[in-house]
Amino acid sequence: MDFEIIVQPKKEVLDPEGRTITETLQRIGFSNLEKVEVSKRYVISLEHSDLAEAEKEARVIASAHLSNPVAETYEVHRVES
Amino acid sequence: MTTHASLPKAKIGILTFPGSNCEPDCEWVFKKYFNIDITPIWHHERSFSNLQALIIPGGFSFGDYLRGGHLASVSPCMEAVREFANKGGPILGICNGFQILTESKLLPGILLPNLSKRFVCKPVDLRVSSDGSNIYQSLLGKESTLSLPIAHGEGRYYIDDVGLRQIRDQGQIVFKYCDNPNGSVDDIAGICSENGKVLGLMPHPERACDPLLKGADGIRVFEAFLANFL
Repeated sequence: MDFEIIVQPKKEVLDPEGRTITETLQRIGFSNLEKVEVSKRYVISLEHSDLAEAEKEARVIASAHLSNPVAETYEVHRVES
Repeated sequence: MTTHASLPKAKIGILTFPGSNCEPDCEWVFKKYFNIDITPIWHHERSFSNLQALIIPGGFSFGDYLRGGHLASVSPCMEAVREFANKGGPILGICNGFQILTESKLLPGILLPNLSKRFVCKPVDLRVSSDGSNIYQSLLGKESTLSLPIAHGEGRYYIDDVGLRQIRDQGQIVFKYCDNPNGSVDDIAGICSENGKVLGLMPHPERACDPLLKGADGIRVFEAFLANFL
């Protein structure tokens, strides 16, 4: 079973990469652009017969390792293999 | 430069991970100035006995993949490190070692990519924090200054407002940048645990222990660390 995990900086944490991309795109003429947010996307495959158990494990991996709760949030989505 | 040949023989371990690269400099400093042989400890070790102190050196453990220090923080040796810390063992984490300590939750907060998005490598001036009180403030002097080199891409210390208030009140802030090079919250360059025994800092004291290297303030940091247990 495959899960997509999106990790992004918390709103209150400055995201220098997003800010730099925003400023550069604005500079080259995208004047309607207000903001670019950068996140990381992981796809993990788990060998499981039980969907609920698999999702539980995906959430542990996302919360304890792929993200750091001090500065980041995460989302877990089931995706088709 | 003075050496401390009269110091009692200490047993200090230095953890090494794939990608650690500052352990030879630490070994050189401790041998030259304190006449102490440091014992290298490979990250696969699950126990280490009779150690008086532990150093986690700088470098790029596990290629800094995922987040600097995270993959090292789940290495086999880290359970023993946690036990050592829980018993009040002194630990010094330098640069990547500091990242490993925050990712292991042995120190609060996180080290994020520098605001400039650039790897910053230069000497910086630091001052000893005067917030609260800790052993390093007593040993080095509140508001005393020292110059040490930094070399990092992920050195922006971050903690939320509640956490910041807490570490201030508990006297956990040890070093602050005089001119913030990376966007760290409250100019923080180094913090210690509540009991003062675990110290993490982004600057590299081991690279500033010889006048030929434009300064020897790093020795003051190691002297203060040693005063924890000798």
